[in-house]
Amino acid sequence: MDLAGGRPVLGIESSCDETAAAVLAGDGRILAALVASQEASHAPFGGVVPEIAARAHLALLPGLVRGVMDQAGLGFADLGGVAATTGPGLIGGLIVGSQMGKGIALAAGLPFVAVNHLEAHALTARLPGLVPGGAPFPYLLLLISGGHCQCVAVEGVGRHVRLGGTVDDAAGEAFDKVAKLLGLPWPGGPALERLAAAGDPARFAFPRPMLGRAGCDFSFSGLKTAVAQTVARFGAGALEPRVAADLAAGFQAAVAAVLADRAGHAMAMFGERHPGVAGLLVVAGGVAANGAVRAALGAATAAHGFGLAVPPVALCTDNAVMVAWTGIERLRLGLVDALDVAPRPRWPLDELAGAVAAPPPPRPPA
Amino acid sequence: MRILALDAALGACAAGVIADGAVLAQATRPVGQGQAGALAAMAASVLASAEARETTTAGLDAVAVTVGPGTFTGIRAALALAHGIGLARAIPVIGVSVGEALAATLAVPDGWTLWTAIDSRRGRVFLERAGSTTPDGGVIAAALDALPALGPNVALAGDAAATVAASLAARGTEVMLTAARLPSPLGIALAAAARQASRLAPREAQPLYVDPPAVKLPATPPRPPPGSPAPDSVVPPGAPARDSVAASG
Ligand SMILES: Nc1ncnc2c1ncn2[C@@H]1O[C@H](COP(=O)(O)OP(=O)(O)OP(=O)(O)O)[C@@H](O)[C@H]1O
Repeated sequence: MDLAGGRPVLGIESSCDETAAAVLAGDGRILAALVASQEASHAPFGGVVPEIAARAHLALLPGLVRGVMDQAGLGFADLGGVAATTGPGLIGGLIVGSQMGKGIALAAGLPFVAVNHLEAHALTARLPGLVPGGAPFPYLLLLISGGHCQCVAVEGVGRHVRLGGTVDDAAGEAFDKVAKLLGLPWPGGPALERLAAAGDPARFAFPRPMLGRAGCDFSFSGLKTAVAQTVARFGAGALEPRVAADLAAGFQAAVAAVLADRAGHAMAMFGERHPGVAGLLVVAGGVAANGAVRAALGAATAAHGFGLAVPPVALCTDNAVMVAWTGIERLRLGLVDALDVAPRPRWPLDELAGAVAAPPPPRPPA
Repeated sequence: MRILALDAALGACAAGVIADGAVLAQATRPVGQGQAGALAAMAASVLASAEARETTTAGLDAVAVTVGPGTFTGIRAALALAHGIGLARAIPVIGVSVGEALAATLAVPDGWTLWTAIDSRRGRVFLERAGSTTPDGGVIAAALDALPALGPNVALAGDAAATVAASLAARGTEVMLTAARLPSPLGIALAAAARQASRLAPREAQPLYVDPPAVKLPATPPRPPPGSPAPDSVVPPGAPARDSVAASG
């Protein structure tokens, strides 16, 4: 029973430093989507400042919600549900987004869905038109963002099995920290990739933590330390462009190799759990924008006979389309949350409540 | 005018529906874990019971909400909820300060000034002067052991009223301790109606933080971008070239 009745669903995202709202039609078509990045407000501090983020979310969100409703040409009575990210993330933003979602839901008499941000990343691949064949369950998710780094078997709505994850930094966090060491502005991932384009990845041989180790856990802090020690040899001032480019290229090559190796192990683990299933690796998170990482993952999936799906960058980084889509998927299964559900700064994927297996959608005839 | 009043600024969550000064339904509960979660359910239930009591089907005309001073978490939880309701019902969201909400149901004798004292923790209080029309809303932050002079005859309300009253009295100030500690839905609605009727100065429906975010810029300056000139070779535009300075010195 679809609790949204096939009607459009509003999604709200405010778990980190992007404030976003989106409206999707009942079939998943994007009717309107807005993202306000707070990057400039946090950049002087070299990272996200929770209190600045919380203030900005509340200042921005009412206008964004009104904006997407206007763009979609809808009134709130036309909606079938409201979905808001309720965890994991920074508590200040989670409170703002979930409370606004609840307010709309209770005032318009709509069902409310408390969305897990990680599940939203995981289900993005199922947006209609993104992946040929529609990414039926189960598939393998590699989430590589600023705050998260994990391999997950996505087996149904609310049914996710974490196969492995980072024991220290997230991949995007490693990019940001190394970028800072090189003198690049925050967030450093994109700038580091541009710098690396002109660099020689072989000049500095950086360690590849966890490479070949059983399972699919990650570790990046040793790599970061190795870069820091190398950078220190060049003194305190600005790095020479050649040196900086070679350092960036060497670091990026190490991360790409580690991610490909770990994803390879995850594909093997997934294959054991789901023998006979045509494997699909879905990548999400800002680091998926990195060309070297994509290329390494392309080679790894080819070697394991897996398909590779990398959604467009705007859907890989934090956005509200994925939140609205998760709302649609959950409402279709009759899953709804009470208005007294509390935000959860920590909310691992395998602690999703109300989990049910989705019936596998019929595969299109070959 | 029918108003939904919401508050989570201090030690409690409150929701109520008030029609032209009459309380149709209200609920209050102490703040505990998950207060941000509780307020939405409370709002839904007071709306439902107010609607059940009503013979007319008239909807809400406004949402009134306390904007502070108080705990940031509670203020944002209430304001975000209020904005959601305001958007969905296409009705205004009216922010009122804690002091305005308390003053709305208090009568202070002539010659006395009402101040609302709010605990801001770590030995500090926020002090809000009733009737102030300054842009900062008449709120000042002060250390409890260094309170400013608040006037000759001071009436006190708010959750830190007793502490502040004791300190002022010890200094010989004439003090009257009122019974008002936490904003009531009625007080919030009355203040909002006054604001709507322009009897109170306009105020944004955004938090009254008083203090800027407590953040510091990184202590060590970041490494300059690759390829930038070394600091001692930087010459401000228009400055004489280095050798000419050396030559003249
Ligand atoms: N081209 C790139 N190469 C490497 N890293 C990148 C690139 N583009 C973005 N990143 C990194 O991706 C991260 C941002 O992505 P995203 O928005 O998904 O993360 P987030 O805001 O931390 O989200 P989440 O809350 O899901 O963890 C940053 O760490 C950024 O440096």
